Amino acid sequence: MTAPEPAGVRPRRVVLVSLGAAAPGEALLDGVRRLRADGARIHLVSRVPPAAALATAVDDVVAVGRPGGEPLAAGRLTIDPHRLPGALALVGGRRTRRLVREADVLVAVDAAALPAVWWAARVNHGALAVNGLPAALARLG
Amino acid sequence: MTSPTRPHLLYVAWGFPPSRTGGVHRALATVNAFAADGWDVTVLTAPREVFRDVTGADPRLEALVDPSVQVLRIPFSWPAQQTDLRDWPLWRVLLPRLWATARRRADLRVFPEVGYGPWRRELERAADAVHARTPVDLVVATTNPEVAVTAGVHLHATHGVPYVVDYRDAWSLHTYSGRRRHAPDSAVGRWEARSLGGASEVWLVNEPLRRWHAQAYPQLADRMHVVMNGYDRDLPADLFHAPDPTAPLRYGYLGTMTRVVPLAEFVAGWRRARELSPEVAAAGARLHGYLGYYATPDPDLAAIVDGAADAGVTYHGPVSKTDVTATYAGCDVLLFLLGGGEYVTSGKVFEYMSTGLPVVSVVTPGCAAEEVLSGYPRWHRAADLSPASVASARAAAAVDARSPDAPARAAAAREHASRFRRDRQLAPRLTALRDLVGTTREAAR
Repeated sequence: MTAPEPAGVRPRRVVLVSLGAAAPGEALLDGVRRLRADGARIHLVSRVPPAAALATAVDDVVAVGRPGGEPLAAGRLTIDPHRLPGALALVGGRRTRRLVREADVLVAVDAAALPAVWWAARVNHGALAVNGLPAALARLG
Repeated sequence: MTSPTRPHLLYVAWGFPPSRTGGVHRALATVNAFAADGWDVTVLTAPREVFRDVTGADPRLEALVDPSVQVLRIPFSWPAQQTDLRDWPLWRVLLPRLWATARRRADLRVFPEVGYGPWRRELERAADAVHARTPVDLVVATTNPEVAVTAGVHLHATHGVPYVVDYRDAWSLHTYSGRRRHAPDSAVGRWEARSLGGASEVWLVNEPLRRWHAQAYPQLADRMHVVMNGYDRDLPADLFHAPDPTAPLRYGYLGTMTRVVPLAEFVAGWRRARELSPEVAAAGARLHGYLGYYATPDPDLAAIVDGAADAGVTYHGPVSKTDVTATYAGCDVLLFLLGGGEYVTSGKVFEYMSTGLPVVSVVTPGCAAEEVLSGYPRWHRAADLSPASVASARAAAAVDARSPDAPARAAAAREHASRFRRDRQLAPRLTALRDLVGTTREAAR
């Protein structure tokens, strides 16, 4: 659930997107805390439930896609069943569509989320769209 | 502004402050040592944004560069590591492997090094421009990426400028496996022979690496020198105190954690050690540094760290070079985790020893860093990577940290480490290169 915002200046909205098989965890904590300390609101859109500490550290967690489903190997080609469906779910989903449109920063926190964030950046032209939370932190200075 | 009486060094390093990549401290120390020795120094390196966006940057490192050094940031494009997703073409998003294959082929066209090959043209152009403005007396290139050597090779071929190859790593040799990874007749093998063959000196970071290269290139053996990494400056002796007897011991790791670091083995041993005594069970391990080579954490390493949280292992992210002293001061025992065999020493081992703190080593057996650690009086070695060995070393370090004569032990440990100070490693080479440059100038008259 998202907490109500106080009146006044709108905080910077950061949307972290994770569509990989691994649960987003402690590696993101330091960055999330830094952004929160700067007054940002952090929304985590994740296919797999995040680690408890991370779930507590962000403002809200939105589930997207389905947890199971391994990448399919077809010869030398590997198809991840979550990359493109995940992108569709992020940009077109009822709960996530508004998050994407209102975000100031869109971050792919794993490789599976890259198509989703790439597409989201085409929907929200004003947002910073980057690969990796450290890259976002570096750019936000 | 350069002076006609002072020798002019052109130093080439892709990873230079504010980069936080491996070897950046060696580059910084080398440049500062030349400047302190009375050289005019010009550095060719990559733009700040490359480090900010991709490898991770430590902006405060730039303040440590000698103010007389001129740093030229020349264009470097790194599409494979581009983090701004707006710059990605659609086909890269849809067909990432095909895009990577095409990119790789493009990279290798002018120099046999994926990711960095195209930088050769920029380096050669920049070296020409610097030399035209103020003649260069010597080029020192620190490698990995190896493309750095091309500036020296080029100025040597076109203007007879002598150059030094600082082989911080190895190119043909895989330092972790000890196997040759590029044949002598491959593109890499030919470039290596050409660059080393024309060099006035070749620097290597340890004796096993010098020996391997001397065997591979026997005709160049007398030009090969060991310039160990060393540590930068003595830490204040009063920084470290005996551990608070009422508080749990604080174990700490500081450094980049890559896939060759035995992190999983350390965690298994850490868990086993908790069963040995309440003292050990109460202790915590604080891990500082990047998870992987790039700014984006390696997901597998992140998972290992996440999975160890219940055992008192916590991750605290990267540390600025300027905060390193304070980070060490927050530790009672240091954890030295390193993968690799007889050719791998790391730079971290020297800095660890300079603290005088107990050091628990969890390294691949036969790792060259053990040779450096041998003789350090507070070294607690895990004989192998088994949980039992790691646990036993960790417990021994706890006893050492709590011993009544810990201050005397720390003083003895620091004294032992002082021989590895970086300026002591570089001094003989600076003297030799001054002579070389003097001789070259004399010959040119």
